[in-house]
Amino acid sequence: MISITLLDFLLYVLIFFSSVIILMSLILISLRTKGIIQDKKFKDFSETYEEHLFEYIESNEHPSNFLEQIKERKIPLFLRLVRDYAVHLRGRDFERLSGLINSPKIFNFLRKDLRSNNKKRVLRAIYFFGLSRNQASLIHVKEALKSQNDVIKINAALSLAKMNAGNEIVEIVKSLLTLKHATNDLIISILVEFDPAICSILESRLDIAKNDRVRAIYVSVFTKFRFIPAAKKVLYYLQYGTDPELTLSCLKYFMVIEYEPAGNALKFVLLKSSPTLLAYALKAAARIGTKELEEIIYEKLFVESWQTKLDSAAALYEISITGKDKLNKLAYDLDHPAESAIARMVLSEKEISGK
Amino acid sequence: MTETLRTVIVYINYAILLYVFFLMSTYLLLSFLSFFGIKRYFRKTSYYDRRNIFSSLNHIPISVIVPAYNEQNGIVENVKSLLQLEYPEFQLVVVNDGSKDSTLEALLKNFNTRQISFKPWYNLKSEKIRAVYVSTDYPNLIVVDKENGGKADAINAGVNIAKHPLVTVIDADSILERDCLLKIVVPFLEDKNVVAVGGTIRIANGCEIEQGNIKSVGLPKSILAKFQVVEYIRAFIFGRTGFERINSLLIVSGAFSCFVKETVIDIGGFKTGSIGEDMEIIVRMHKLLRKKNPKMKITFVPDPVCWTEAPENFKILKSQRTRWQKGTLESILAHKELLFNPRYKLMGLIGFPYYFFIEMLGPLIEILGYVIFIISVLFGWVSYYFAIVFLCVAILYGIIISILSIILEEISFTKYPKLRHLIEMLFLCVLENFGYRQLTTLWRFSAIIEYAFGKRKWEKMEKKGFQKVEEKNEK
Amino acid sequence: MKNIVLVEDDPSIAKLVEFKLKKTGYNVVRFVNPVGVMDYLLNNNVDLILSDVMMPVIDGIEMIKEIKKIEKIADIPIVLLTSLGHESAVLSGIEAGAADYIVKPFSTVELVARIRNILN
Repeated sequence: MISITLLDFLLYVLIFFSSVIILMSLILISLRTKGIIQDKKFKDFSETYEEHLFEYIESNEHPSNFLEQIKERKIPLFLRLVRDYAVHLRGRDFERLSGLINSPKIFNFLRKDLRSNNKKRVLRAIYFFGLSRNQASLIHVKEALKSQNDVIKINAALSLAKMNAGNEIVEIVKSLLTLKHATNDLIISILVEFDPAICSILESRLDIAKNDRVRAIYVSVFTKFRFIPAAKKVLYYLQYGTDPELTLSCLKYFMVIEYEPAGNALKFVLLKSSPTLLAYALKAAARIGTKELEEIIYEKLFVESWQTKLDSAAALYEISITGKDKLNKLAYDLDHPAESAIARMVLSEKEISGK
Repeated sequence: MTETLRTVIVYINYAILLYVFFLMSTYLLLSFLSFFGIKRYFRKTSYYDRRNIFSSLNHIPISVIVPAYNEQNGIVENVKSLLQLEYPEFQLVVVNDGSKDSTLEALLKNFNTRQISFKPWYNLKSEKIRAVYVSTDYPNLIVVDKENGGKADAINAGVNIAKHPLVTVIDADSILERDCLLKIVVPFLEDKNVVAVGGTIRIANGCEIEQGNIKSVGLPKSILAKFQVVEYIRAFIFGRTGFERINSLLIVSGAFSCFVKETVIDIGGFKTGSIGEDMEIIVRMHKLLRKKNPKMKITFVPDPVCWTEAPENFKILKSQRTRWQKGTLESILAHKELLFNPRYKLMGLIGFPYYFFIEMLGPLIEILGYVIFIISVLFGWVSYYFAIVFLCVAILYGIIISILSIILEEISFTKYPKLRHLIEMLFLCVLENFGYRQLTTLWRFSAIIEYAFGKRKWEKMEKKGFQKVEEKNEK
Repeated sequence: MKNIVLVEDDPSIAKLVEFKLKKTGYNVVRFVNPVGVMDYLLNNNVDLILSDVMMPVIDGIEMIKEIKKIEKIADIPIVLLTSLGHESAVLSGIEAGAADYIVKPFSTVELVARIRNILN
């Protein structure tokens, strides 16, 4: 017989497990019930105050008048309601709503949240300060930038960007670079929340930026805002930058901004780059469209890599009428089967989509 | 003689107890890892608007590959809903894998296509491509017609034609949420070392579906499907999240997964003729790419983005589970040098052994365990009472794990809106241990035996809209 | 009094727009998605359709195409509501025959002005 003590042990485990199961089931059901109750509370709140809110938005009523009827403990529900509308609106409607958030009653409530230990409350406060673009809260949100918590840092940066806090740009970028998982994409997506005027500030900081990675980020922001004044500097970094990310950023800029002096630099990029960079360089070259570039693009059709062949063919089609003609001729060139196949493919695809 | 036999059996009993203890501790570990993994994912996405990817220029264009075989009943509707996916730049490559029905005709007719000259740019192994068409109405829709070669083969053909740096592979009858591409691209944007990302799959049976979109979520009527709902929640919330934390994800669902195209080409594409091509390629990726880039990552997105139809009758469910088990056997055994191999760090030391002993050999040990236990009880070597108590402990533990995953689902995605859904799921967690789990284990066991005796043909399922009938594939 | 059909799945925007349009003096009928819209258009007198582009089930563009096929209702002006970043959808919409479009986030003042313009 197997020892009895093991059996006793198992019996205790049995009882323990059964209690755990009952406990977990209760937890589960209470979690759901809590959620249902909260949703119901919000629904009731909306139904009561929605019409008033709409009337308020229409009118010139002072925010405090409207807020008088909202009890302090209902403010979270109120914020949720405002958020539902504010994200969709702009112009006067939006101003009316942000007026509510900036009123003393709500502002103080959010201030208290910001100083609390509860991460959810802090995030909520940061979010609404950013939403209302209230300059008075700037200094408080800036404090949150220093938080150890990544999510709070990101949201603080996002809110500062919405507030268009151009003076804090250095702090913001510095803080974002210290994130545990800081990718360029994340930082760029935050910076583009600023007003386009941020570009001038970034341009002035391009040379003194910490490193090429930061420069690549700034150039991406220029690209997003189609900031033409930066072209000269971006060209400089295309020619002399060593970091491939920066080169890529600059190429993407010239894909969007037509800047003829970049033609020369592009020549060099085309002649000595990796297939990934080539893909973008070819598109940029097609935009600028000088004869010299056209020749180089044509030559690229004959390299090994399929991807480059395809990108070159596409660029040739875009660059000029002579380019299209060259492609047409190539399509029937029996001496170069691979290239003619690519040419035929690109031509048939482009003709169909009518580009 | 009986004495030695008795001692042997007793030791085997202890071994089985040890195995069970090991199993339970692994599940416990996985649950902790999952809990933190999901919490982390949530904090990241709580106030962050994914639509930012639209505004930032740094989205990565995606080619969505859809292998299709005999899908005439649903293919047009599904492709239409796929075209509505929210993403700044994507291409849809539907690969007709030599269908015997009118799948191709349906596609060509409904999307106003024109044949184009094509040149497959890469040389992944696939059967002959007969023609390539582009839709005039939707220029980002490409239809590839090729000779039949099986799913892996069709995917390879799709990769050969795809023009974007990321390729997403989906099943033709999967129902995807509109923002699935926005969600699945995030790991690639966050870490340049990510080579593959899997999505989370849920059961579509019981959900209200209109024109290829989920209108509302509900529980299925069929009891078999109900069990599978709980199973999938458990598998994804535990299995995947847990392993992802130690970079030991050995499988991403064929129903919805995304890869870096370069990587797929570098390792030679999907293995044609394999039973479980989705697992096979991932294991191979771990094996080959870790050497080149030790920082390589394979991860998954816990957000449910893909809804699939689960089998509702025993025959088809059995065939599905058999196929999965054989696929696991094939993939794990083909790369068995990873077992306990310190060169692969945690994956070699913990992840792979888990799949080897628990996923692959588990059913064998479990059935053996039952048999030994029964023998021991019949011969009086183990008290009948003990056996019952032990069985109860094992069952209760299984219930705890299931309820834990339902709780995790509740604090994260809460896809099942009604309270009665929740209560029903609680009952299912208990009920599944009285027949369903044993049945699936038995099927997996017989799959292992079949595999050991060389029966490795892949049996294909033919779909009739939402009805399934089994059919043998040529390959 | 002019009749406007509003097709919008987001309940918040729908309610606000409905309120604003009613305040301006129009009659508004709300739909959550395009299902049922066709029937309503065929059986009632509708002066303008205001519709979101990205909706579950059938998207706004498909709906426009269906409407333009039927002579009786093809002339009803259609205004699209679209989110930032879905410019291609807008182009498809205009190509399909939509009269105008408004990008979210939007201003209700502007919305009303455009609608008033079209209806006169």
